[in-house]
Amino acid sequence: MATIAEYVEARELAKALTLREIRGQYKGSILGWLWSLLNPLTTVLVFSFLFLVLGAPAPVGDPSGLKFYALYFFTGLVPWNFFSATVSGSAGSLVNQGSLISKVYFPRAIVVVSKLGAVGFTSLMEMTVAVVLLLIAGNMVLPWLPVVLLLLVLQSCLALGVGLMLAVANVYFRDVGHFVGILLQVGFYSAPIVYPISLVEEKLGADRLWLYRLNPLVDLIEAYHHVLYDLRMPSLAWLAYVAVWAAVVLGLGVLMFNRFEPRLAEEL
Amino acid sequence: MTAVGPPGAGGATPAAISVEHVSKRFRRYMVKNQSVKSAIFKRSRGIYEENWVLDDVSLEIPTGSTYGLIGSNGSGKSTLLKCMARILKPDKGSITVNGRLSALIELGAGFHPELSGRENVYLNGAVLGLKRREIDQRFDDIVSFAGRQVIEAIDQPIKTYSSGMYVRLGFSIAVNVEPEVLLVDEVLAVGDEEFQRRCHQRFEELSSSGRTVVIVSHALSTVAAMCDQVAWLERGKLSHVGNPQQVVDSYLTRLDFGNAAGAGAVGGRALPDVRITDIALDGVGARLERTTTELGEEVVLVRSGQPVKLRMGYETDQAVPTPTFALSIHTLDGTLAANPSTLSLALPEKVNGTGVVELEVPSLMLVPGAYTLGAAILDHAGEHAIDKKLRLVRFEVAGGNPGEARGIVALNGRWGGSLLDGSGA
Repeated sequence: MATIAEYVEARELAKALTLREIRGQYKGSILGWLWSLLNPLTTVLVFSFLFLVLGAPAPVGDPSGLKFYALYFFTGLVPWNFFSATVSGSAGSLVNQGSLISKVYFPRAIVVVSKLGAVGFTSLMEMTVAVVLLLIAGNMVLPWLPVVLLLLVLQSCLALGVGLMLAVANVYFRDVGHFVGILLQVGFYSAPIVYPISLVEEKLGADRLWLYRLNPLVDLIEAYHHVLYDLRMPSLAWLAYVAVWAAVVLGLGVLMFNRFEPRLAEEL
Repeated sequence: MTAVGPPGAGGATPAAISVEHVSKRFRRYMVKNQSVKSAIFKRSRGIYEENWVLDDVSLEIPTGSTYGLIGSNGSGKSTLLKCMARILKPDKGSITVNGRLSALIELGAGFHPELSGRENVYLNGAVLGLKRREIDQRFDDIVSFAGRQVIEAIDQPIKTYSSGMYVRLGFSIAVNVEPEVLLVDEVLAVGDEEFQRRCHQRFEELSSSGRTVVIVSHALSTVAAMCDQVAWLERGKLSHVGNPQQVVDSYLTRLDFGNAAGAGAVGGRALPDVRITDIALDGVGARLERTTTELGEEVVLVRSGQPVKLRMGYETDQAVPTPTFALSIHTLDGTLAANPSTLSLALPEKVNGTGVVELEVPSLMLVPGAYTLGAAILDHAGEHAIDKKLRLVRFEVAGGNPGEARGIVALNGRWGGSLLDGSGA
């Protein structure tokens, strides 16, 4: 089991592996970074078109008054992509770095952390685009950015915890990746990304909405909507609930990772 | 070849690496269920048997020494190295390392093909535990050590490198890390001769500047020449530790005893049953002196250019077609120096009982050094070995012409030319 001092010592490696991932991703493609933005933008276009065709009304920002479905969707999609890409990327990360792990010693969780870093970088680019688009649409989001940063940190903890568990699990059972893909698809529709939370409230009733909100992803995504689309403070009580989830999941992830870390090199 | 004692041995310096009662167990899966689905249905992760790859190994590697680990495939030497490098965790026992350690188990670990040589130097440096600032300082050394080709291509993606360039760059990063303890696995066998020579030089520099180098290798001559101490592992257990030449010698001897083939059938045709009874090296007219090594091995002493007799005894239980008798002289690193046989000789058709075959050598044309004598009995055509006893007799050649001390063969020629005839200037 690697000690905390070793992780501090290995921060340069974490940086180097993150850079490797980021650079490697776009080397060899002329459009480079643009590709990473094209993907979510296409998704936004497709869903906006669908929404239009269905004739559903766009959610209205309260108190911002913004009424623009594509932006509502985009503010939820960016954090979701961050979560989903980190989780699915982490799951395969140890196996993908197998040759490195069986040849060199370093604290193994660095592999998962650098995955988070690389995905986080892409997400920051997307978030910047989202902020620019929101500003153009007249939403003054700049004062809210510190809260967004806080949300990103909270979300990183949650994603890292899940990532650590899945990375180890995937070493022992190589089909974990497939399950993750399916679960993430369910996760995408389980949170208010494509649809506003008010839609669920209508169907479920206000007094039973808490059932829906038990899923920590719901309030995590909803917090982004509040801060970026509505321009108001998210519910602190529910954020605290998400934070407890993040802490527990991260704690379990670290425990599980440390438990299996010493044997990783021979299982890979 | 004389072994140099580790500098600082006997002093108060703690061992660079101390291995205490280390055991490591591997699982060998007959059936491995590597999916959740099969694990659930079969209710197990697979069927496996456990075997101990390392069994209660204890070693002290003195600070500043060059230490060799030898052993046949599967002896556990690489596993031990990986345990020292902390890649693997021993199941029992402990390993203490004093000082910064760098393990050279794969060259260019973590290289990304799409990134440039420069970017990969920083990446691999970080993998080996260097800070960015430290790589900045060493960058020029690293690239120049890797050679001209690499210097020219340093900003090209590494996927465009030849495998030689790739390996050279990987190696230069690794040796420029300047760890206090360097672990090396088999990588000496890469690169062209020129590069290998520089690698050796670099290892010597490292060890003379007080760093500890641990080498796992099959290149026994290299190990014997470079190391201060050698440990020989056999089936996960420590067999011998000590003077490199002696350990390498006894290792080679053991190797060949294990190989001695009995009589068997080849291609449905039975081979005649003839066995080697003894092998000897004698002087002509005078007896040769003998001495005993620390390991209790007897060594025959010969002078270069001296006439000698090589002799082998054989025995059979019944009359058999005459086989081919062969003798072999090996240098200690396993190079075959001479291999005379009776193949072209007209011999009686059958042999029976016991007998002796002798080869008289008018002048033993070997340069000073240590050699081994062995013998083999082959079928009539000289194609299949019936009995083989290689490297059975150790002998040491001394004296001879001081002008001929390297290589294997002493030509004992006569120098001439204008300078020596007195007709030169």
